[in-house]
Amino acid sequence: MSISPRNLWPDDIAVTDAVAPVSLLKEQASLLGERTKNLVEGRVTPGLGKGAAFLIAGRFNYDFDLVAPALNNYRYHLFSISHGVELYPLTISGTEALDSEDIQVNNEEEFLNALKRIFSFEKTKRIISSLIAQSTS
Amino acid sequence: MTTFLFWNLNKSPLEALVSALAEIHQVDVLILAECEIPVSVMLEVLNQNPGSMFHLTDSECERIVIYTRFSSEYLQKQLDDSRLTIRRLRLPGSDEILLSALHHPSKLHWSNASQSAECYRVSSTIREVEEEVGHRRTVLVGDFNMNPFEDAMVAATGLNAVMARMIAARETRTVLAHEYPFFYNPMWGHFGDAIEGPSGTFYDGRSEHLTYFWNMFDQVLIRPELLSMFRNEELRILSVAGERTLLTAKGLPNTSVASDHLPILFRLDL
Repeated sequence: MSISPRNLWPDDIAVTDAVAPVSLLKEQASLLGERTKNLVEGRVTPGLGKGAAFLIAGRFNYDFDLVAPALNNYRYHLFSISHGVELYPLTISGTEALDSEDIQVNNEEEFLNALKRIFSFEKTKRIISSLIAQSTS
Repeated sequence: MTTFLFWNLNKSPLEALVSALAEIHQVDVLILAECEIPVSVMLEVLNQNPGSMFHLTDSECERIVIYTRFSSEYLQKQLDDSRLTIRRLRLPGSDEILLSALHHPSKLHWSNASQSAECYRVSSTIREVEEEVGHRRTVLVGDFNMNPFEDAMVAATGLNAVMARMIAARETRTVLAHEYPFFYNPMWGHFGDAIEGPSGTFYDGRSEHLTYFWNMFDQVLIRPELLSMFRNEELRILSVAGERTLLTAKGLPNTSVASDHLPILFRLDL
């Protein structure tokens, strides 16, 4: 007599509409390229700061850099993010655009608002303009 | 299917034609030699096509520039010298291949013997890189400034590039106990006027005793490991860009509107 396995996992275990923060970063990186015709690209790489590991003490870390391919791949570090396995809360660090060096956001909406502030920050816009100007000179 | 286009631009401002070809043929990887078009101009023109988002790829090779429709992070440099670049192309869901591009010294400035000597070095370099990365899924494309039948193209210690798939499929041949990997050179099948398209990629009708008129300087060579991904009918020597011809009324490369070389287009089922 065979015994059918009893699956105790709920049906909706693999159903999610959550978007990983790194996916949101990659989306924004791609959209920057569209705006600048890829003279300045956003690059999202695993890690937190120079030489740090992707996973530190169970946290996921990513850098968001601006890269100018026509300037021998000049790279400007814009900010980093770090989060645990549950995505939020998430820490944004390494940017002057926000109120303090490290700020914590608690959900996707707060994260998107913070990204908007970083991208609209005067210094960010100046750096992108400068990279474009030098790429076209 | 990944589409590649190689063109020696003869230092001419052909960005509009390049962009048109990229759009018409939905080129994914654009490989240019003798390209003096500023990056900003090329990106501007390439990316004006709807849905196009070309990227400049990182390189220290002075003679070859490569733009990709996908993120340049998928095409990482493995080796660059002044005339040869070898990249690792890793597209999601596909096995990595080595994409190598070459602009070999010209017959105008180098003797055949010097060209051959340099070609042996190129071949040796490619084999070394294949050893490093642990596979021979390699494509070599470029302006070789030599015809497919020249010694260094065919010699075992040269590129070992043969005209028939069946021979290339043996993968290697042994000479004096040394084993050399084959390339398949599909350009052999494009000589002359028996098939549709130009009779070569470069025309030189100089008045001397030995003249071939049409030459096949622009070539793509494929290692046997990639033969199953390549179909001969998807290799073309291009002579038009939409409604614009790249040829004169006599059917020769028109240097006043295009380049002295014709572009080659090929696809790989990566």
